[in-house]
Amino acid sequence: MTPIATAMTVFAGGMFFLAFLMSSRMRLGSLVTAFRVQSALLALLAIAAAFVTGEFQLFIVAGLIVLIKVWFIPSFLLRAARVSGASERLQSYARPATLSFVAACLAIVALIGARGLLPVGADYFVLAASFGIVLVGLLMLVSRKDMFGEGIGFFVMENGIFTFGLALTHGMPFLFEIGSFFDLLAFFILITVFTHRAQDENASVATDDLRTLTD
Amino acid sequence: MAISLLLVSCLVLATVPFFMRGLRFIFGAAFLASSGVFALSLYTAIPLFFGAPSFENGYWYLDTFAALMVLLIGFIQWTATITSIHYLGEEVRTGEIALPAVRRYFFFVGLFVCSMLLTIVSNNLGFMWIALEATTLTTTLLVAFYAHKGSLEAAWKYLILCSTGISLGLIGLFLTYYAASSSGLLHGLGAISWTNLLTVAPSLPPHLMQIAFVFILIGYGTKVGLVPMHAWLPDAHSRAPSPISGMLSGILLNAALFGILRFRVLVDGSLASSVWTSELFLVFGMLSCIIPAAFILLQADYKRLLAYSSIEHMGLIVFSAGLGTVGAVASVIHIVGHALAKSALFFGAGNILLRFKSTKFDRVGQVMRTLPYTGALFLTLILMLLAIPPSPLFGSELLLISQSVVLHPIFATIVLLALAIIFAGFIRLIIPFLFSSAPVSPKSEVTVGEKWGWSHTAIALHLILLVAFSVFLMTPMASPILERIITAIS
Repeated sequence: MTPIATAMTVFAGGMFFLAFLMSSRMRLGSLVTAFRVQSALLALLAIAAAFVTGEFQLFIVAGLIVLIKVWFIPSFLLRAARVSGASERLQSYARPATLSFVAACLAIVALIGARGLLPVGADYFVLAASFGIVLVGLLMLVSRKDMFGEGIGFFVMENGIFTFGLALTHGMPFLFEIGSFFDLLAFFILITVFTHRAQDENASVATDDLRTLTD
Repeated sequence: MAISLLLVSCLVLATVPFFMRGLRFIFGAAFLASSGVFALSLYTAIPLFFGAPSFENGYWYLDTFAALMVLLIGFIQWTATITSIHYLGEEVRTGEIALPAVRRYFFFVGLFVCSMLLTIVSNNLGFMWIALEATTLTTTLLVAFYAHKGSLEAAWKYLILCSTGISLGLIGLFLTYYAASSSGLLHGLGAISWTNLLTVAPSLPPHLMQIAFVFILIGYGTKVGLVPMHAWLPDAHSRAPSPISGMLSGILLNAALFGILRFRVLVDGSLASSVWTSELFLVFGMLSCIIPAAFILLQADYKRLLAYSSIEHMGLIVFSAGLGTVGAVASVIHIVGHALAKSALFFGAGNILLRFKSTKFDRVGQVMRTLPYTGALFLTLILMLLAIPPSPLFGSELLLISQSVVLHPIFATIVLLALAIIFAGFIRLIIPFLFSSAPVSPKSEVTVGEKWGWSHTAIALHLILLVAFSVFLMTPMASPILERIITAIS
């Protein structure tokens, strides 16, 4: 294994470890910090991929990840929470220990899934880590009971998908990357608009208050 | 050139009304811009039905199937704008919304139409993905347009579920890119160009393309409203302003389905057979017919009733697409018939909501007496939706059932049973809704009678087109055009 391949495995492993920790964190501040570090590791992964492929544009992608996911989204998410007066304490349907156990099970599923699904040249552990991050992101989406938790769950899942893309393709075409970052930014803006409105309407960002539309 | 102009005209629709000062100017600008979009969609699409070759370059691709979708989007956004003018005018008059909200409304409508058209005309599957995600982002604030209870909930569910679905679809896109680039067939942006992929489809690794298609089907299928990924649809369609519900149901679902059908051609090419994708379509299509049947039977809200019916009809379209060439013909007819009928029904539902101030069946009654024009149009459209001749849906459902009886008799029986339940559910709910003399909510002061307005003209246009489409299908002109469309998706 080359040093760059080893570095990529370490970065992806670190990203999964952070996702695992995030699955049971119940404080907004620590969740956002973990997401920040996870995104920084994603940027390092993109730089490593740039060295492998010699594609200069991957350095720009890494720069955009730092700008959008390490700085902009975490900072403005915390700011939105502070301005709207949302609680720092987040809510979940399950206890932290249960969530950690489920996340560990998902890691096993990811390891098996990566082996069985893809007879490809990409590094097995990086692929398994990306699957794991996507699955833990989905776990956060379904287990959280507040808008911030669900929103961060989505971003974690998105980091996992991005890792998968980097591991598999060593970067998609640049124009496409720019477009997907634009969509991500628009998604983030909508999240902050809705958390603000929920705080105004219900004095809470709990999604338990959003359960009136049933059949 | 025409395609670029069409997209620019959507941006005009988004921006010009935004900078107008008075309500009359906002409406005037919106109407003119929307008419421009419609005229350009006619100019772009019509020649392809009469033998003009498909248009393609690095960014755009327009074949007969895409032209059909462009035409549907162009027409329905136009009638939706006309209906919106009536609808928002009333709401401004009653103080429900203010002028800035009207500006915001048309701004997002313009962006929404633009992103839908981009989804259809993109020659690049990556740009198609970006545009499809953009349709969610531009409509989320339209779903949350009102400060009503439930609007935020519907918009939040819509945003999270659809964005998650589309993100999972991205995995399918990565796999397709990898399949094309790793085997040295294509490189860079060209590796996700649809026309390039089409030429190398037989050489793409089948195993990878199958996995990619599963992610695309689940991801884009969420946006189509296929069961079990449909949870957002009844909420978003029932809470959005009615003209928006009409556009969501009539054209957005089809735009997402368009993405699935495009991918399907690649997977079928890679597998050298359509059996595998057809089986997936049959299962998802059948599920999407069965589950809404139960909800339709016990529905208490007329906008949700129409939304569940959309899930059912998308299920029928997907089911038909799994039935070979004859099924493909049925699905194309069904796409057109459902888009025209359902969007007009939502426009009608908007008129009813304006008068009765409720979407609940138990708070609305005597629609035929209170709103005679809307009631008559609504009843006729419901009959059209239930595939009563001369509805084109009669032809498509007859085709799909007769084909599935031959190919998959058990599936055919289940779908027929679901259709029967849905028919009974609609009749049970709609007849009292239109004709009963049961008192409506005691607090409401509902005035009786209405004047023929622009919204009625828009709905009537849909009705006329539905009948004209049925007549057209019986002419010799229909088969070569249908043949060209089917070739584009098989």
